[in-house]
Amino acid sequence: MSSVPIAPPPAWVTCPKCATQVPCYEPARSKCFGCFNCRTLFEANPATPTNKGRIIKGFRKENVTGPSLPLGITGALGSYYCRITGYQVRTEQQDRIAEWREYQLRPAEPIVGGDSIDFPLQLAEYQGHWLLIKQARSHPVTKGNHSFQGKEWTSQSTGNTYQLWHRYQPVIRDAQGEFDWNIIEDERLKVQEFTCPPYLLSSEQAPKANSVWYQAEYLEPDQVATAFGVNANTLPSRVGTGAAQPNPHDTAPAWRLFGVAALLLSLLAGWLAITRPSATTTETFTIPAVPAAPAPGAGLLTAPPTVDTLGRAVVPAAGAATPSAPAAATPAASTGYSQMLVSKSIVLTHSSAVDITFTALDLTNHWVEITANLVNEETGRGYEVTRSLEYYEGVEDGESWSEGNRSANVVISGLPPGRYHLNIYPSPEAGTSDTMLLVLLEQHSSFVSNFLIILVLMSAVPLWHWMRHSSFETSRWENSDFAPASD
Amino acid sequence: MLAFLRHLGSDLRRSPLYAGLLSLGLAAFLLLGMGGTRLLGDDKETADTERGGPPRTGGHGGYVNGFNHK
Repeated sequence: MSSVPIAPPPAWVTCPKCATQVPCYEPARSKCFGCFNCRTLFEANPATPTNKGRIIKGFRKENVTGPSLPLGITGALGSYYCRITGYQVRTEQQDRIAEWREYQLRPAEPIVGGDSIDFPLQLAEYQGHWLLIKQARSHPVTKGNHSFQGKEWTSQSTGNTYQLWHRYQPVIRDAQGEFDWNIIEDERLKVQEFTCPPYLLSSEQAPKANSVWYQAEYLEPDQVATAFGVNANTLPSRVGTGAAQPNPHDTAPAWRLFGVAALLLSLLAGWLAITRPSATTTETFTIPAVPAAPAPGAGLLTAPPTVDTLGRAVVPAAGAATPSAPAAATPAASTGYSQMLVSKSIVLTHSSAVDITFTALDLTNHWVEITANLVNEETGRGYEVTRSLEYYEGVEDGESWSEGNRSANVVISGLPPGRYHLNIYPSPEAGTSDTMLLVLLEQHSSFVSNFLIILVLMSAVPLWHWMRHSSFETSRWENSDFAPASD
Repeated sequence: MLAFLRHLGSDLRRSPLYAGLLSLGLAAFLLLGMGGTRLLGDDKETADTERGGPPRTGGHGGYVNGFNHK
């Protein structure tokens, strides 16, 4: 929208204090004027400009900077073609620091067939945040002149829920231009504001009178600049977050996409679980005791174990890797283990992982170290891992204690399909009794941890949006005494 | 449902990068599942895959049967 030249006013009134001619665009309605020269508010009748006006109040000139939109300028705000005819600077009785500016808007040309109920309109600007204010069509209803006491209100017509933002009494600090009411009387008003971005619902109530409700809508500074054809840089810079400023961080799209992806992920996990069944074997071995304090040179045994090319012991007659007869190789002092045990074979029909759990059932106050080699019987490739099991318990000062763990777990993932068995080389503590070792081999194709890790990674973007959204809302409610407990 | 799908279409157009990342995550989960690979806590990383024979050291802290073998 291009700027419209400021048209000469149809009438003028004379300031009773400094005799400055004050323009009047609506002589039929206006009765209160603010002199831009001496900052005097006065009553006058534009129809009889020769009559001297009555001074209402003088404002302090040094306090104010003047309007950022010139009086008399016209512009199109939405469907409203309007003119700025008055300007006020307001603050609160309880907080004289915060001040905002209100611009009185009147129709710039006669309204033909339009809805004139919205006039008078106002533009309000606080810290660079603009609101277009008009009469509210939907607002809380109270009995008689009782004020609305709720902290929240939901419009039945729009479904918007408004939250209490502020309560105050205004103080007028400056006024220029023309007004159709004595603006100083507004200092008696009790104002309540309710926010539902981009809207703000406001009630003004004079003593012993009914509340009058207005609805404001947030305007971007560029919208104001465009509407009045002024350079946006001449408007006040935005500071902080406006009461009705829309939150630019919309979290719904990211959460919607994440929800769909999480659903697909769950379906994939289910499909993997169904189509890639897992196998499990359990076996119990006895780790024979090792005599205490062997004599030097008289180690457990001097001969190394007899092993095949897969690292498996040459087993006794019971046969290799039979479920009921675990193989037992000769212990070897030179290799540090007491006896080699061979597990049953497990067949992996597809690439998967093997979860091995060692549990020393009767391990108490000693340790046993397990070195295990998972061997692919077809390729001979082995995966060797070591785990220590130790468990200690006792009573000290009348209190029982325990430390360590009788179980340890190993996961070897990404194993190619094939037949595997486990060579176990236990090294028990010397001087202890036999130890029962339970070995559980489980095949896994899909992991809960993978599911959770990918779910967490995928949720990073919506969480980031949510944090920015929350931060924006926190910043908004910092200016209110009625911040909700949580966003 | 139709409204949700319309929203979803709009979301995909608004956030193509995020949609791509989500697809990547789903593909990664599928490939990991097919390959039996675990993202975290895989002891294969530390497993010795070279040796097929018996271990040459062992015992609690290398101290086995009264002799320090390490």
